[in-house]
Amino acid sequence: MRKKAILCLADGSTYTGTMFGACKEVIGELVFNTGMTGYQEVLTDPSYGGQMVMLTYPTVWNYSTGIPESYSLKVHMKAFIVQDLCEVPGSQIEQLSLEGYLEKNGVTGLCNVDTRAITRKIREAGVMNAAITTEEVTEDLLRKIRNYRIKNPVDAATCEGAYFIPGTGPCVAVLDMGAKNSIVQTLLSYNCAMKVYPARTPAYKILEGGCDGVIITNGPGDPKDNDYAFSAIRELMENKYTMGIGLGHQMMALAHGGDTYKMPFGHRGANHPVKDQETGRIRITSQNHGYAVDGEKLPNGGTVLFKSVNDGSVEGMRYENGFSVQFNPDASPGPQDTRYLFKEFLSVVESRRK
Amino acid sequence: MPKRQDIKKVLVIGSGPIVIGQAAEFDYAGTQACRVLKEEGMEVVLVNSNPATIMTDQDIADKVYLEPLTVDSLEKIIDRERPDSLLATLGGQTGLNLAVELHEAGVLKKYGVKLLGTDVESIKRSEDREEFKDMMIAIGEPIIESAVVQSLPEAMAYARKVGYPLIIRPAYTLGGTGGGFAFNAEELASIATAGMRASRTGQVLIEKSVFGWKEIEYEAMRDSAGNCITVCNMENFDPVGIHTGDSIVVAPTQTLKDSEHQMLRSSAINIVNALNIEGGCNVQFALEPSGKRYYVIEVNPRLSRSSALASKATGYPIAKVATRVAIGYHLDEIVNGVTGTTTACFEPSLDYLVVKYPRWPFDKFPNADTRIGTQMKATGEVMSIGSNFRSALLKAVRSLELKQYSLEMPSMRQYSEAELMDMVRHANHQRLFVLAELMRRGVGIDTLFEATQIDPWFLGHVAGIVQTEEKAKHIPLNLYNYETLLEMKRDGVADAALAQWNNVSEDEVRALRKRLGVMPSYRMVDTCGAEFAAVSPYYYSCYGAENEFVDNGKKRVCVLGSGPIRIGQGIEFDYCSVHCVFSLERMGYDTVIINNNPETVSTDFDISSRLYFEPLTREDVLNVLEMENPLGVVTQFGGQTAIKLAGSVEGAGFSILGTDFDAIDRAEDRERFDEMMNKLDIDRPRGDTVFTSEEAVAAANRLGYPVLVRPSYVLGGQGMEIAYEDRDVREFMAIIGSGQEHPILVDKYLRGTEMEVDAICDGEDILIPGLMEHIERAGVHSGDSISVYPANGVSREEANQIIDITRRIANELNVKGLMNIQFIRMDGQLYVIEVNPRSSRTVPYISKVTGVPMVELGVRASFGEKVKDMGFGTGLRPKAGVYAIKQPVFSTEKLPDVGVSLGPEMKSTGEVLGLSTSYDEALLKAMISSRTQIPTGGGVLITVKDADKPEAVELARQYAELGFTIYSTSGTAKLLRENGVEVHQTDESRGRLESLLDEIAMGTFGLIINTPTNGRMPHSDGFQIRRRAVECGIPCLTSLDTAKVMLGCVQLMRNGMGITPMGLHDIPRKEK
Repeated sequence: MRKKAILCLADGSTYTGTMFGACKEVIGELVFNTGMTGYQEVLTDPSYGGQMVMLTYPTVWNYSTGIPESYSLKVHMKAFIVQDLCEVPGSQIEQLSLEGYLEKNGVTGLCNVDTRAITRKIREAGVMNAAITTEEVTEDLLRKIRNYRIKNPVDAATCEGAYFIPGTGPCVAVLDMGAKNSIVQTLLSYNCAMKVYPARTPAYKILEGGCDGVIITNGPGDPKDNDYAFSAIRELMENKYTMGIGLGHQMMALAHGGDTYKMPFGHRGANHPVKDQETGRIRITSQNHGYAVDGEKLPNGGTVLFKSVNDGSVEGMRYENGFSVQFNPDASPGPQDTRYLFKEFLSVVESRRK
Repeated sequence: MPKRQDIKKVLVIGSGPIVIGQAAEFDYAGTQACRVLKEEGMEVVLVNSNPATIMTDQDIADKVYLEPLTVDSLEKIIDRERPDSLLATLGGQTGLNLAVELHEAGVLKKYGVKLLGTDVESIKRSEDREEFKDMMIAIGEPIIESAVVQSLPEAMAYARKVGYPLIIRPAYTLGGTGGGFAFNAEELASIATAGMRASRTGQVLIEKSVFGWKEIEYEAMRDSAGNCITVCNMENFDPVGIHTGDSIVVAPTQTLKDSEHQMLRSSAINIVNALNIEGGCNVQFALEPSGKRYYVIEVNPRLSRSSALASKATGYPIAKVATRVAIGYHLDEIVNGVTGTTTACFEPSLDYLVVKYPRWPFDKFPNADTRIGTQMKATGEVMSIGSNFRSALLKAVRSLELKQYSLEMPSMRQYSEAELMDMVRHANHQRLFVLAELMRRGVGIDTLFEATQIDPWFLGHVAGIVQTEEKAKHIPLNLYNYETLLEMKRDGVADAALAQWNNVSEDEVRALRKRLGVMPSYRMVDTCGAEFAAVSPYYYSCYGAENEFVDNGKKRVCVLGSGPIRIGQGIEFDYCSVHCVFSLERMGYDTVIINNNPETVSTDFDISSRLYFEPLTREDVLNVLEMENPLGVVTQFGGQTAIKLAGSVEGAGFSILGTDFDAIDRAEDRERFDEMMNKLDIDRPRGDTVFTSEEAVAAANRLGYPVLVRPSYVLGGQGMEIAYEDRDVREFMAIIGSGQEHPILVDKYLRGTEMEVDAICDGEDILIPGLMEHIERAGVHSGDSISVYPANGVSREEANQIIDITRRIANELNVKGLMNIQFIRMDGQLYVIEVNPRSSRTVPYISKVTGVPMVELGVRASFGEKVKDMGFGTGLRPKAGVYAIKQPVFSTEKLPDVGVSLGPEMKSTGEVLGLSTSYDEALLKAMISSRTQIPTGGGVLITVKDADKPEAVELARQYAELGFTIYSTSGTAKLLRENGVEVHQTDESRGRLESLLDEIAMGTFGLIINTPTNGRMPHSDGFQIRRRAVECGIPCLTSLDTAKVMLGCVQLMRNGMGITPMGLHDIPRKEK
């Protein structure tokens, strides 16, 4: 049942809207995404674990969700916030309503809110915790909002056990920190065989299992929460050519003595330009991150491979035996301009095979 | 890479006159380009034959040439100016073609001129069908299969190979006559046969049709380093089959999944990379509704109408960035002017929706074929911005100025459901309203999708609007509360619509809104979805949101723009609006522009202090005014659009700067105008006001034929006809319609010489920068006649009379600002036929030629400055030592069933100027610039109405003396022969008309002179002769006055007269 609800931010500001979907009161970290398409991919991106995601594009659910398999993918975010919920039949294909979809996934939705005003707020004040409530805002709620912290989100997002996907190409070990489905899909399109491991898998197990290269995936939360994996990452990188994506990129830096920091409001969208420091070429990328590798305290043996054109932050690193990117070369949603990185990775992996 | 150091002096080519398919967007692009080049310290030489543009102002470029856009003319300018570089990709297809021609003629090489931006090879690769095809195949991009055939069996064989439906287009024919869709062999046979006949080469192009697929466009930008981004994508509401210029377009795409969007985006970038584009590029796709397959339809390696739209839709200044890229900058070295902190190397993110709606000229042409298809017919467009699709669509609808404030069009009620279904299947300009009517009658989205292939998402939203409208009809005004009214406004329902349904005045709805506190907020267009702080002063309205307007406390003036380009109200008013803004800024005021035309310079966000992209309606304008609270509002520069709003603006308590509303009304209201003329004792043609056909006939006989008949409530000559006898009067009265509540005006038609003045007035003194005289005698709309400055036929005494009349009218109306008056001289007597207390069509060209900054002076006068203190004197300025001849340009070849002949109703879409110290050369330049083919020999077909026959004899004789073969139909031929002119009577073996039409198509005549008896009847012989001529690109003159001028041009060409370029800076100027 839809009902009137309030979005309350940690600074006490409130915005009224309409609650839909699972209609649970929730607390989370409020972030915004500027992508104009791809809400379905956003919804199923595990990197949003613990967060409330607000779209800046005003009308959502225009087109059918289309791909049936995404129905089975879990929605990790705490809440989904949009200005207008589009309730018009989409393009020809029978579709599930966003309302039903969120309800099924136990996720709260909020619509009819002034998303632009909230975005402007976050842009100025930085990322904030927030709550969606149907009750009056109390001091107690505000305290809860302020005390909220995303806890071990990787554990909730990683796979439960290792699994194997056969393929005719090189075999890639995927350390799943909360991987987007599109990473697996991309590797599949290159005919890779994949061995997907939970985040806490020790390196020796992965190496014993055998592989030609390693990918450390994206995932939610603060990279420093996952210090258990640093030694594994070092060991993997010593032995195998490794590509890091998102959280994986940050953890590779931390594992080699670099530092990371929390950004004021992060990069979330499909229009982020990054400049290749080796070639000077700029490409538009899909991004979803709230933390970044500190350019002032780079990891040992690492050189900056990509920088953000907008704010100069580190967007990729080159290592002796691998590289890492902060953005999503697997796109989905977003531009496919950096998909070639998988090709580059796989060509090195292929060359070292046997 | 930073700016190239080898570029010091750049030649910029504009796009020439406004025609359908090439409008104000290139003035916007070119003006941006020139400003950038000047900012970068380069010398700019500009060539454009269109005098109404802002780009041809001496403030915009260093050297301005209002010269013909031909290789010959450009070579002379290059020779004279010696630019080191050429920028041609901002001048539309005209500029692009010229760049290629200059290259191929060896001109660029000869003078060492570098082509900036995309190189010639790349341009040719995207323009040449075969090369393009080969390249697309090489890079794996799918294109639609097509073939050129010249026989029916060939066509049939091809159809068997690729399957139906097919599109057939005659080769080398303008206007798409003889083309169409074939869904089966029978249709193919009939269309292809007709097409081959219509084509000069007997060939038709057959293409596999993707009719009904989604039509999607991308605007890409690429620099010399290979960095490539897409600025924006756009989706056509109307699927493939309707020209994108005639489609409702939405940005960004609404019905595409991310995967579909990325597939097309990647394809666009792939193509742009392969073409090695340096600058902007537009790529159009057809996407199968299921989203699986696509075709590349078209690639434009230049700025376009779509790029102007994309710039305004996103805030990303494509023309500016393209110019910087062309002079060497990389995208990441160019600052994003909207944020001031990020760069041009990013992709805009929108947090609103944009709707573009075409503006068609069918209100001017009641007999036109209003169906829309592959040939663009719109003259202009409006854009609207909303926080949802519904409100954006409704804003666009009311921006069209068709008195349509909802999707309910009363005229639709008369049709049966079957008729309406037929109307949506064969789309016409009213399709949206037909759809709405069908939905109102309960027809389902599935049925309508079946009939139109319009995506159910769009149809669903239209149905949603209809639902809201039906709901609104049943809620009495007093039952609204804050929430319910806010919801209506969020859905975009106009006050005017609510007022109509409740049978109250719009003011009552406005009062209710204010009482309940339902007022709009203004959001910024910032290119980035609010991710970064923006400094762009570019706003749109929405409801229920935070207001981002910040009052800086400065004194401000609001300028109302002129809306979409249409026949009778073109780019000249944008020129005036923009110059008004410049003047106000120089006077130290903040400026606020309200306008809705995405093609124009005035809607560039860095022209004014604040830009509101809003409909120019009472509601939307007052909303802005009440928030901005300007010290004054300027309505005299935005054409009829702004003038119409003057009453509302003044009524709401805002002051109109300059001439007040009462003066406007006295000039526009027929009775009050007559009263004033009587009071001032100024002659005007006698006239009468009638209601019935019989009264009209009686009046006509009293006044004496010929008479002008017109409805009183229209302006700009709309619906005006000249009647020579009772039959004509009855016919026009029938067209205008009986049961008119407004009176019909019957005026004595004086077939004299027409003259025109624009004056700057302060209530005491006037300044007339120059007098203009028309080549065509009265009866031809002033916008359609060739206008000559200075008016050499005017004696000193007559000039004094004109000055005196102008001063008396100006003072009587207390005009403070600009005023335009039209005169007729008949038998030595002066008559006033029209007074417009506002800026006019001729202001830009007279300003440029005389060096009097008319708009600026007008603005200063409206602030109370005295004309005598302005430094340009009073009365009539001395003549500049130059002839400036303005010639109209028509787009009639693109509007089937529209009459070609000149008459009291304006038909031209654009204009060109010919400038020279010699009258003959000025005329020749104007003729060349207007792209009128000047025949040098061959046949001239002369068929004229009885009234013209005596004059035609002399004319025919002169053409014959020049060696032309004269052809005539029997009537005219007999007369010519009797008068000793050798004449060939046209072949009438196959039936008179058929034979003649075939001969026209075969190119027997190099010139056709045909004066119409009655221009409106679409099936008259003359009508068809003129149409065929236009469609075959043969000059067709419908006034003997024009034919005489043409004769002069032929003589000049014969004498080997070339043209010498003359820049505005070359005009000899008298001291101030």
